[in-house]
Amino acid sequence: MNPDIPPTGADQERLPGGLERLLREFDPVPAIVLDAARASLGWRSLDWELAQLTADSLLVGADVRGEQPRLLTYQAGERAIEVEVSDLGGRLRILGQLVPPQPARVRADQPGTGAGQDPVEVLADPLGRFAIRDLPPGPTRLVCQPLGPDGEPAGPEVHSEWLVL
Amino acid sequence: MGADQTSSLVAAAAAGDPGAWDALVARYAGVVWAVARSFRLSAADAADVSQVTWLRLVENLDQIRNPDGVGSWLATTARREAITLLRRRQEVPLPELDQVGVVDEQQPPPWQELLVDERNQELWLAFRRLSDRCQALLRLLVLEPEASYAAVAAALNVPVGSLGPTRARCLATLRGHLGTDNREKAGGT
Repeated sequence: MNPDIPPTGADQERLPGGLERLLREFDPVPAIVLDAARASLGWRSLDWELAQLTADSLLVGADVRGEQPRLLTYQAGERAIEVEVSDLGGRLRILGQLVPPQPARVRADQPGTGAGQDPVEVLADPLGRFAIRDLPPGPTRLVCQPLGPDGEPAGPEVHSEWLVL
Repeated sequence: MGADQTSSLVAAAAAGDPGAWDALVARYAGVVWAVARSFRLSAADAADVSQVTWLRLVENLDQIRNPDGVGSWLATTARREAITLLRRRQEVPLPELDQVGVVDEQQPPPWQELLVDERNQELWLAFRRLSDRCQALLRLLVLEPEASYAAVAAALNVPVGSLGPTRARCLATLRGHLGTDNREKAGGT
């Protein structure tokens, strides 16, 4: 126990009888949500660079319209993944640009799409451009494996932070 | 659960121990869920917030600076994600508090059965008349009774020292609601 925290339990005014039980039992965590939380550990991976979200158009400017594409920048050192996410009738279209421009395999990881379903994978062209179409919304991360001129993996994978897209 | 145990769970989970991870989930899933729901997100949106919060913890297991404070870390992360998602939903008008019925159709039958009891119903109506902030604070303090006031403060984005006085004010308001609503004595004091 941290001695700095406010007094609790017997020192405090009690909740009206029954309320504590109501608050405990109200809106329990759904089993599917608990399962997803437990399964999250399975998405751990090693030997990759984390690209952190450094810009999100949702969080700037007061005038946010659902129709506008959402612009995101993920940054890992000198490397960046810039994407434009559009909601097309409940499905997502992601247009991306790798910085610096380079060919890569780009995968969209989505835990919500169900077990046994392969993640969507596309190729970024030599200018680092890629497009992922018809993706369901939900928690998503992009995994980029840069490719050399021979088409073989060159350098470590870059993972974007997880984000609800 | 003490802070020592929490930090050793984080260390064990970082070392790949699924049992330790499951214990962390069992410990904090309710708080993460309650934070998401305190922003009145739908169950589907709250599920996304919860999932992305846990996934972020996975990717940061090695980098958590203060493993004792993982509850605060989770609460803060869930709060940020909920706010971001809320911005996307802002074209949808939020329901007025008064329109929140006694029986929430999203709740499973066991919860509804609790409200069959008249006394529980009165309590619940009085509780739902409180501000969003009071509702979230009282609920989080019940879910997180002793392990981490810091996590509750992080969830609400307020100083730890303000929790006690705010709780007292919320309870006073609640008693006021019970007093005006009920001919019967509020009880529980």
